[in-house]
Amino acid sequence: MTPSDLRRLIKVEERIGQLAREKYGLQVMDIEFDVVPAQKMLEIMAYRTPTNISSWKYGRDYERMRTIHENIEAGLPYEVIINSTPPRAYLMNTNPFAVQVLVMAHVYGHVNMFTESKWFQAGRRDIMHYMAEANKRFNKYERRYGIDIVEKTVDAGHALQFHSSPFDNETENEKRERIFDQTMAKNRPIETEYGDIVGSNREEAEVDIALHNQNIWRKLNLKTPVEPTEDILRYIIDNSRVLEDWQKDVLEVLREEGRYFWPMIRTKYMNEGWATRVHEKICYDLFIEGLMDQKEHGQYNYSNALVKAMHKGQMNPYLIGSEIWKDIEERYDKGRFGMAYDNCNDAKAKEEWDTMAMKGKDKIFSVMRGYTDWFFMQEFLTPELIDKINLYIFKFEETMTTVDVVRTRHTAKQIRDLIINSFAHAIVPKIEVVNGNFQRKGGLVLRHAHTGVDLDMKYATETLKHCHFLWGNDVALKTKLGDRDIRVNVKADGKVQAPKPEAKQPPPPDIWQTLTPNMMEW
Amino acid sequence: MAIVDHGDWDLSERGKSDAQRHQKKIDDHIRKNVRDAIAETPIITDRKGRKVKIPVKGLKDWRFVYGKNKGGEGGVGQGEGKPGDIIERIPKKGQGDGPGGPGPPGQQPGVDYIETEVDIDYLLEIMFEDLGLPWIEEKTKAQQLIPKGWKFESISKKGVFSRIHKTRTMKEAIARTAVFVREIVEDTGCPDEVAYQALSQAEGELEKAIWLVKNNMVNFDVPSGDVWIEDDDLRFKQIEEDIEVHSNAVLICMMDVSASMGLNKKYLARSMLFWLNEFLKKTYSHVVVKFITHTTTAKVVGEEEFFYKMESGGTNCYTAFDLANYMIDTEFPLSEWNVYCVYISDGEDFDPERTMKSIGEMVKKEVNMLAYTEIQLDDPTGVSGWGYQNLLKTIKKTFKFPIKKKQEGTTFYKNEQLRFLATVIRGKEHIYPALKWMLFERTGK
Repeated sequence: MTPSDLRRLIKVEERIGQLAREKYGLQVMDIEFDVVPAQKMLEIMAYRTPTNISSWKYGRDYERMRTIHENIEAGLPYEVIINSTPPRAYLMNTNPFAVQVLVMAHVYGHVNMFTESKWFQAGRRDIMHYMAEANKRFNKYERRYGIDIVEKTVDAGHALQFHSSPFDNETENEKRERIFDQTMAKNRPIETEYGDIVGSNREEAEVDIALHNQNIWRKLNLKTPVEPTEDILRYIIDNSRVLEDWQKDVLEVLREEGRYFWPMIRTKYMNEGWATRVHEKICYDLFIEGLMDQKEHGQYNYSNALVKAMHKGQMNPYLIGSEIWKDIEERYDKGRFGMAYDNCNDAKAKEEWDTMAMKGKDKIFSVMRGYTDWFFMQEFLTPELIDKINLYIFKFEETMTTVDVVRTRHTAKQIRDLIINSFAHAIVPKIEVVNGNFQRKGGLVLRHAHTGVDLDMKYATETLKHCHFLWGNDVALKTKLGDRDIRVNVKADGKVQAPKPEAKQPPPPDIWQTLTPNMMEW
Repeated sequence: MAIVDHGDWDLSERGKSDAQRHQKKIDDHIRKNVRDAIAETPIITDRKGRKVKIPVKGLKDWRFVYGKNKGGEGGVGQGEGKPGDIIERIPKKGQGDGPGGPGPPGQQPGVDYIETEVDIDYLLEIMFEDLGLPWIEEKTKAQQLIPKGWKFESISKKGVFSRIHKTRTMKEAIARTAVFVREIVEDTGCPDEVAYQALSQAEGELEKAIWLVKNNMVNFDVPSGDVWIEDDDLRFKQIEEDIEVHSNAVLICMMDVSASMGLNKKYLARSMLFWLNEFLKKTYSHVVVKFITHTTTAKVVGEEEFFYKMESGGTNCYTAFDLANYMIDTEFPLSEWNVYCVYISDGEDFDPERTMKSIGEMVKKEVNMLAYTEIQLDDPTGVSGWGYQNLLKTIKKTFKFPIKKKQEGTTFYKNEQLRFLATVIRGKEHIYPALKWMLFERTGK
């Protein structure tokens, strides 16, 4: 990049900031941009954060990205942004000027969301330094304990890291206290209607309840985990009997990293859609103002089209996200919401519905601040929109010599349900640790909250093997295949038992039911 | 708000080193699954680039993820079209079915495994570590002198300074110092330490040291312990041409290409001989490979033709053996050559009696090895079922095989005295064990 280009880039960046803040009212932290060579850019993309730990996975991704980069046309705007304070973003120095501007404006969109969305407020702001320090320590571990065992631990940590949410900071003891307090509050002597006449044995009852509470506390102390927890890594770090201190450190770091990515994974479509809308608007302004010239317009259009390309086999979050945002804004500008609109059966009236409500901007900002992808899709990916942007479901059909990818006959509403059920929120299935001492033999039991889509069994089994490595004892996963309850076991010696139907047993007595004494009613 | 240009960002290439780690994992994987690699490899189409594609499974980021839906939906796509449109046709991988029967097509093509490109040479290295031709003999006549390059062998006092032999020079210098010390002691009668100190002080000059001792000028404050090298101590390595003596070896590949050998059988036969040929070419730079195909008549063909051409017709196995015998007599006399013969067929023969006679002749010549491989496979593309499948049976009857090993669903026979091996191949997965049966641990060099 020449010095004059750099000066111009700085000038344009300043204008982008002004436009974003003043014209569009976006709250944006100050951003630091680094212009880096292409090879470094690919590396940063492969490593997710530039200072990330070393792993064969990142090496693999780096090779893949390099191959893609070398084999396809230039002009695909690569973007990497780190949600830290200050936010950092990277620009590839071989990109044309128009692409740099596009990426910068896009980054402003992301940072706006990082600043305003409530989901991004709990994560750590120093992920770069944190990972850099971790990398140094991990290198030491590799020298001391051997690369294989460190790699195995890292792989296991990677397998489970996205199950930890940045909002769940309660320790096991705090949970126990809380549950105990809640139960205690429930167990009050009940005043009967004629208590004042027949005389109340309140004192007796209180002694009884005190005894009962002691009983509950004892049982709570035996129960592990106190309540089902989704934070699998936290639970394993705290309770595994086979992990060494350095392994706990490794897992702790990977869990932190998972927590850093947690909101990004859950707002992928919103985030990319939002940033795409922002860069389109800002770049439009820049062209109008003459800060970018006509030649650059062609390059910009080309790159923008690459960003928003339709893919035959997958959903493009940039395109679908921005279409949904656009749709929301339009609908709320025209007042197409609420009972009156929903209950209107006149297609023509609906078509022409426009109350000049102009609520669009307020609506998209409030949605941006509070929603995740799942809610976002649930509420705004309407069947009408699905038809409009041509989403479809495909399936594989086998013939003699080929496997065909065939478009199915699902209606828009069915497509919507499938997307919401499986594709939008389904990156991380909800899996809880329900028992850390199964049958008092120290086995770990995980339970998958089945939402209508099965887990991939191959993946689940391999992930369970990772769990088993960390736990050092029996590990089991309860889930469903179709309507069938099944259970995948990895035994203490590492052998996998094929998923077998869960034996139909009477449900185990609920601890609260058995503990609630009859004498509570006087 | 700042833009910083890092045009000269340090290119530490972390990505590269981690990529190597990934590559190592892939290698380990290939090592473990060489058998599948051989079986799956579309070798015959990919010869030009000397690269083969190998599917590598198991190098994924395992996580809890959602699988396919009950309805078998593959995913969501976007674009114009109507229901029932075929969006893409993906050709099925590998026409023959791999071990374990036909697997379901990958639900997400290209995601289930990574295909990695591997150099054939590299694959061979992994496959046949420490294997070599069996029963190789040093033939007295016509050994080949193979120049291997250069080597350092002798040491001389004169030479080029860049080839100085440091250790030897130091040894010489130390030895000479010891001699000097002794000389000083004998000359002056002083203790060893004094003599040594004097020599150090005199910077290695004998006369001066003796003079120092005699005049009582030995100063123990001067640091000592250095070894002084004189011109006479210098030793140099001498470079010489390195020559290796090798025995001549020839491999005669014989293959039945008659009508009964259907496409799949031919694929197996070619696959097997392909790997054998590649392996020999890589391991022995001087092995001659000859190819013979036969139907009712046999002919010598070139490598290209052998691996790529299709033929059909009747089956007279003896023709191939006769031709090989003729070649051995005329071109590769056993007094000069190690002769290896490999014959692959599906066991159909119109005239087994005569074939036995020809094989007997070959065995009598005492060839280094004769390997018979029979492909037993239900092959709808081949003309078969005429009841001629009798070759292995006849061979077993005529030549006894004392060693019999059942392994991995197939059987191996060996007659050490006659140097006669036999195997049965029932599928792609047997190619690798069969090859290993033929090639022994390399002895000696």
